[in-house]
Amino acid sequence: MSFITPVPMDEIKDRELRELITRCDELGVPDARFGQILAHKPAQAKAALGAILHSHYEGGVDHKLKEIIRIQLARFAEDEYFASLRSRKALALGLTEEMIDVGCGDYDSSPLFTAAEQCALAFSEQMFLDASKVNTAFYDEMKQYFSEAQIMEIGAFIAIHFGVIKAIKPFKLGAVPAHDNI
Amino acid sequence: MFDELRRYYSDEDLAELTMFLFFNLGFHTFFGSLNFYPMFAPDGRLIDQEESASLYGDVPVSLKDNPTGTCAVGEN
Repeated sequence: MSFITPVPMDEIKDRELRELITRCDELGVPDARFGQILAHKPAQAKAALGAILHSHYEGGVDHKLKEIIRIQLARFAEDEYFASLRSRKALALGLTEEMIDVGCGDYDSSPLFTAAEQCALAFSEQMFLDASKVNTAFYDEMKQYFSEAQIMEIGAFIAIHFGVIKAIKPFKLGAVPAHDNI
Repeated sequence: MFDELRRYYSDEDLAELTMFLFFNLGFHTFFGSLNFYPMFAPDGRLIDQEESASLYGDVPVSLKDNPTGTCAVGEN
């Protein structure tokens, strides 16, 4: 039970916000309930949901990689809600629970990930655990695999989801049953 | 914690504060790692990152605290 009651859909008068929440429900991450909690403040909710969805579902970086990064951050933060959600798009693209588990663990020695993907996973891991290690040498390594535009896309994605996961955790939204992600 | 917050803030306020935290928590960490410098010299000139680094060093100088716009190269 969330500390803030989700606004029932039929009480959300802003059409654009209703459409964004419906899209969340279709995509799987975040789910509709998240949007309904933010809906207490509609103008800010539209901007926040728009940024969250755009950072995750648009851009030039592999969506499956971003989904693993998102779950990795949620597991680091021990946030049951975001750790349990799954992007339906990523699942349709072939993302498996094995890839997620390895991506959140020993990814740097796994053949499941390319050197570029391992570097991106280290990026999010260090941003969460010890940002001082994301230094010039680290960015030089990132530039071996990614353009500056892609580094900004991954960095902004990590920044948004790092903040979202940490800020929403105290709401105790709870894990979403796995069958709701399909 | 939420019980205490509710003494002072409505659900609308709490939603707004939470969304403010969404972006400030993460972007401060990310931007802090990018090691970029101000785009303007204390005198208002648009400058590149190399010149800015030489002007500001590790501790950027606030224009508010330095209204004359004087900042010696390598001062910091």
